[in-house]
Amino acid sequence: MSNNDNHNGRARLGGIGLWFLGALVVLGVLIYFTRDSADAAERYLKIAAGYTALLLVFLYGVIVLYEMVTGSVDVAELIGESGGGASMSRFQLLIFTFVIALGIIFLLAKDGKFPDLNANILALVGISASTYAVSKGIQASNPRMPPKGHNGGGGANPPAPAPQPGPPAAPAGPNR
Amino acid sequence: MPTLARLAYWELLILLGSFFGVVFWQLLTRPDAFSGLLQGDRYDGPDRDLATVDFTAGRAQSLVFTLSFAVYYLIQILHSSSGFPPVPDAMLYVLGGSQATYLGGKSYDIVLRRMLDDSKKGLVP
Repeated sequence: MSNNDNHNGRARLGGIGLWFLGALVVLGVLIYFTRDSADAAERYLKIAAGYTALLLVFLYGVIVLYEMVTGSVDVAELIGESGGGASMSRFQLLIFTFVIALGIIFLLAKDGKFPDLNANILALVGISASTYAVSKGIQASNPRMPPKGHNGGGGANPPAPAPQPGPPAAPAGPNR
Repeated sequence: MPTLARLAYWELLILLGSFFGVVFWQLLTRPDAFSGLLQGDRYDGPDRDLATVDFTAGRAQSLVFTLSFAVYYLIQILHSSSGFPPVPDAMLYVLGGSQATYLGGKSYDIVLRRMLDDSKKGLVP
């Protein structure tokens, strides 16, 4: 094991230790404030669980956002076809998801409460989602689907790189 | 728990808004993200394979209807007094018809053309 690995292992252990210490502190505070009453204990436990869930969801969201911004998560693949190029069914599903999400953000900010989703909204999302599903089914019926642009159509994906020259593979045969 | 509810409210706003913004920005700044959106595949008889066609009418009409409907409904939301505005039934029918046309064209190009070709060649019993 190299020095770098040792250092990473120690840093990870330190992180776990800090989380453990934090949990102990929270538990100690809870026990201190609720030592006299069971009702208070339950109330504080609910509040602590609520804050923990909020914090976890927020941290997960921030991590995913960071990965998207730095390019580790390729957002363009959201509307990408399996063989390359953009997919119309994915694109329209994304558009309607955007419309509904933007509506929820806007109405949440305006009214201060989560808006009701009526049947027609569900029908709208259902139409686009079922279009996507049927489209995938049609594509799956032809497993020899080529990448877009293979016939001079100008698809998004570049051709696959040629295999690199290297040492010849060992012939298959009995163990040597 | 007013503070917790308030925090949850702001967290939802910030996360949803950020996700929307990042996805939208990344898609718009990627030049190749939308390439091939109007391209389709068509069964190519002699090679029994699929060939790419540069433009398909089914995809074009689907794109037009989808964008028109999305813009229309967004404007309705922005002018709404409270909650999501109702989606007119006629719009849903038009959108469903548009998607059915797109899927019909796609299934004809990929599946039906091959089946017709097979039946002409006597490959189908």
